[in-house]
Amino acid sequence: MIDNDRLIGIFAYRDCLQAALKVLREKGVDIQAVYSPVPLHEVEETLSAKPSSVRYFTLTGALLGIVAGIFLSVYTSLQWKFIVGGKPIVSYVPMVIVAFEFCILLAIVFNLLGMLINSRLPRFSIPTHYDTRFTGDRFGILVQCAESERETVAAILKKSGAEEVRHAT
Amino acid sequence: MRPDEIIQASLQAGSQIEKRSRLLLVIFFCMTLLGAAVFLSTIAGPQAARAWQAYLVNFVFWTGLSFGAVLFVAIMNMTSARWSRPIKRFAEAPGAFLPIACVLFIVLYFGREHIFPWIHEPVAGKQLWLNVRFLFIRDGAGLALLTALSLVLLYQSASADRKAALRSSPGSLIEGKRPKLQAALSPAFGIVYAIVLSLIAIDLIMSLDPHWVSTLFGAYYFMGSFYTALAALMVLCGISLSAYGLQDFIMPRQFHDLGKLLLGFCVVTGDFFYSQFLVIWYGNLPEEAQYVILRVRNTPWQLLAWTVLIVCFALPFVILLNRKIKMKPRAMVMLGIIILIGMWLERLLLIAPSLWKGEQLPLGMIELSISAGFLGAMALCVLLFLRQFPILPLSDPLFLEMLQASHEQSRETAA
Repeated sequence: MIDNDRLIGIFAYRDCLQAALKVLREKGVDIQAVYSPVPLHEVEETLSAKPSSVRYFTLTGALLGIVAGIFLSVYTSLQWKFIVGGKPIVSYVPMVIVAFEFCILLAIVFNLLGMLINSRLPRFSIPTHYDTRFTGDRFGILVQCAESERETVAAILKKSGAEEVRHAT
Repeated sequence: MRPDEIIQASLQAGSQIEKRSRLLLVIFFCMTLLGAAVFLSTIAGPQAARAWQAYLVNFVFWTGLSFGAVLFVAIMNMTSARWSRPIKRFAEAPGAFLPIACVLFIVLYFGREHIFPWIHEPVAGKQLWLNVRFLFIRDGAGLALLTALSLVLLYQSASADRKAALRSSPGSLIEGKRPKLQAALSPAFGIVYAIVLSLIAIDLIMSLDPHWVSTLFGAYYFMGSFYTALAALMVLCGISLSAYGLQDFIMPRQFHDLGKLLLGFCVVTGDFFYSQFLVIWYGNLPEEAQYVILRVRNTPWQLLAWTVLIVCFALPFVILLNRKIKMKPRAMVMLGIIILIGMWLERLLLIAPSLWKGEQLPLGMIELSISAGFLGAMALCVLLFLRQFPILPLSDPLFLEMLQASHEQSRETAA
């Protein structure tokens, strides 16, 4: 659709933001982004966005970590073939600890990577519709709608208490 | 929710308990009698040692559970936790078993010949510590002190709530100041808990194999006891939730948080086990390693050891990783029961191999009936305690704060 239009509504109060989101979702308007200077759990619930895919990154990291830990301890033991205290060269008991530590390490690293990739960070240019007050004292909703619906969507935003509704380029 | 509504809900739940608990009281009383009868008849017969062993396993398990539950209350006080306020009374309830636990400890004195191998074969150099009189004096004193601390703590909080319920004037709730005595006693309880439970672990469990030493054993026992208490609390909350209509107070959030704690202490207890095991494995000293080898490699224990590892640690860990399941009371009750059984078996695994020389696992009707007796006594205490005091901590200022906060939150999401 070429005649798509994007609107951004700026709110001073989280109650207004929340009310606007409720109405927008009921009407089936495409909400593209919600900006907020603080984490808002009720917004997450209202948007009922599907759980972020970061957890799959973490799981992959954890499993890879276990494998890497086992591999490292087996590989190094076999390289040196040191017999300590009559124990077998490849023994499982201390391997658990190395595997555990690697599991946590890689899970964390992958978690961080997953977060960065999903939030498309680092970002070197700020989108033009972004208002710097979103990191200060204002909330924002970015919606996409057809040219014909523009008036009604703008009315919804205004009616819910938006201070300002403007065209997002 | 207005204060008078809270009192109303609490009274309603109280009358529900009153009404429904009569039959249960009779059942639990019969269970206690059955356990006592089987125990008394067995110690008079040829299987006396087996009965004493089952008695000791149960004593260690249930006493640890009660103290662990009171520790949960003490931790709540120390951290000014709000989320757990609605389940405070349930956490206090197992503490009502403690006076009985003290009596049961005295009973152990009559079984000393069957329980402590070092009475027949004194260990050179350890007689100063391992002698009957000193053991019963120090453990008895420790138990009495910790029980006294627990009872003061419980009575302070429960009787204030009863007063609030009797006054039932809506305003009186808000005035409640933070109770100072409870705030002062809670950290003291935490410290004495660690010392006394370590003492019990060393004297009543570790000394059964008098040549074996593990410095972490006391901590392992008291952490395990707290883990057991959390599982028991989960079961208690899950059952009471629907039975007494407390859905407005005990919400999925409480189960979620309790589930997170359970996961945490599952990991901690498992970690304490592994820390001991790793050191013993590395050192490979005969007197240390034989304790583990007996339990992990020899029949009939080896199957029990693997069961304990899976049921207490592996299974709860995997299940509790899931976020949604932690908020489902029914699933959590099931898991709680599984952990309780697992931890009971774990206590059996710690004690029985040191004493039992038979070919078969000492798990039969004798153990079952004695455990039923202990379970009955514990359930009786819990029920009587819950009948005696309001089910919600009415006088607790943090409880009201918590209700207000969650109420505002739910109004926000509803708006």
